[in-house]
Amino acid sequence: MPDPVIVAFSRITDDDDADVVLRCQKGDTEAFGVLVDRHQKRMLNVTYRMLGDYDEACDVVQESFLAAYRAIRTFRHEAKFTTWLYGIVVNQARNRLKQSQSRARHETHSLDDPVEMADGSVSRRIADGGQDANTELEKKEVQRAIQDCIGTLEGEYREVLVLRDIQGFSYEEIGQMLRLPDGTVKSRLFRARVFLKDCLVRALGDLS
Amino acid sequence: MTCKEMENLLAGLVDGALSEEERHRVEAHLRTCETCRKALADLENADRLVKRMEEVAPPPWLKTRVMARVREEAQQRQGFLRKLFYPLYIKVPIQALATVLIAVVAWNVYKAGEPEFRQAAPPSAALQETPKAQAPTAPAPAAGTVKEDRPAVREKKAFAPPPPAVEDRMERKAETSREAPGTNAAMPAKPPEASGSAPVPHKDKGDMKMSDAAVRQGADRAMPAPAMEQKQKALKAPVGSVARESAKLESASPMPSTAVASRPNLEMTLRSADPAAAAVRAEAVLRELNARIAERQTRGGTVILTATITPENLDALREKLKSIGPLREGAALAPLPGAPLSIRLEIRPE
Repeated sequence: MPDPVIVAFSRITDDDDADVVLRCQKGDTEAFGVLVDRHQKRMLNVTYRMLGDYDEACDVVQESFLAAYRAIRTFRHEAKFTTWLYGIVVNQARNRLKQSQSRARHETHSLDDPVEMADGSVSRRIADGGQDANTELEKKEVQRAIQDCIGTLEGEYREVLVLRDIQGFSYEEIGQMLRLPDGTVKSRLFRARVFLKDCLVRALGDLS
Repeated sequence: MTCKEMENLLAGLVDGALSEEERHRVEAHLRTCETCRKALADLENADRLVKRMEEVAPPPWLKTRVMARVREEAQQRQGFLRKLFYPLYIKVPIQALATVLIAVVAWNVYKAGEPEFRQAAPPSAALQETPKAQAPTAPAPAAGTVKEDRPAVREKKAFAPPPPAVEDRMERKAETSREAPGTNAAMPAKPPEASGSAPVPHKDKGDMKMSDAAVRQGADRAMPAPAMEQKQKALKAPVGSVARESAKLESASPMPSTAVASRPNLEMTLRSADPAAAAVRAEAVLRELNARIAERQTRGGTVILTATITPENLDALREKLKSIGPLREGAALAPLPGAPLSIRLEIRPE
């Protein structure tokens, strides 16, 4: 029979994770594995799109889960666990981003890195309307171009774009994760969309 | 509104995030602006591309590593809690409890046995030397030499607490010599075994026979019948009897002895908020009842009066002292018939 407290929490917050979180809070270490299973993929995708580096993204996710485990007793079930957890991962990714940006300033660029032009645009990778545009290779190139364009965005624009347009979180959830008012989330997102569109037009030509 | 300013609103139109009013404004502008229509198309295409991005899959080792570290953390946390709370909840309280218990017991024992401790305090170094310094047959020292030898004072100290402050000692010395200069000469120190084993009551008259009787009676009270006979024989022996020597020394004194025997017949404790004032009143009471005040000592806040009083006046004394403050009496030793009763009255602060 389910714990009435858990049922009450689940109903109040409409949170599927409430029961598992309560088990973790009571000291059930293995219950945390359930949360890892449920969220690791989405967390990795958020982090990967923010950082653009798979290994680094895995590392950040690992650290985020550990930070969440350490702090799980402080979670008060006032918001959804997902919001709380993704707040942690975005924060960790943001910190990692700052570190990498700081490191990148002191390092030489790789030949594989997107080349930023004098006007701030990235170099065009795919020829306009190429005949083998539907090939798998071209698909990968498009994906890479999008990722590179996301990488050119400032951190504050990047995180709202990833959370809303790629991961599909609501404005309210994003506001809770980033502790920002709705209006700020929207204005940042609209600007991020315009920046990304401009970048993609420069990188891919016609987007239709 | 320019097309550049309109662009941000177009971005909001993509997912229907604009308010009704903003949406109407943008749609009106789009009907007339080709550039903005193109921009909106690009925004929608970019959004489509972004949403079609492939998801990456987490590596299989990610969960394993996360859980390994989580378990490690949990163990460390348990270990830390154990380290922190084991001594806190078990060892420390037991040790602390034991310390507190010992302290409380020690305090109670001290408080309960305080009078006994005071009486049983070890004699000072000066007292221990006394038997050597003074031979049993030595004649009574002259009154003028009292200050140098002071055997009587030393004997009194045998039952006083460990060496008092210098001022106290000086004060006592002065008082003793002032009140009864002959007393000290008449009360040479007795060997500790004589004074300790058989209390010799105070002798009022300088009669040797009386002194013998007193010694015998005092000893009789403390002994069972068979032992008493032996003791009586020993006391009748012409030489070597400490008590006899003591009596001889006392009888040599020209003045009747006013010194109180080493152990008084009666010990009384009076409590008062102002011991000094209470002492003055107690002295007045004693004088009123024809008591003879032998000594007055002050130690810290406590005043000790030593006096002799006739047994008939004892009840009256009790009543009058009770009017000064709460009175407590220790065990009493019966005085000799007809002999005055020695009293040690301790006036303590409340």
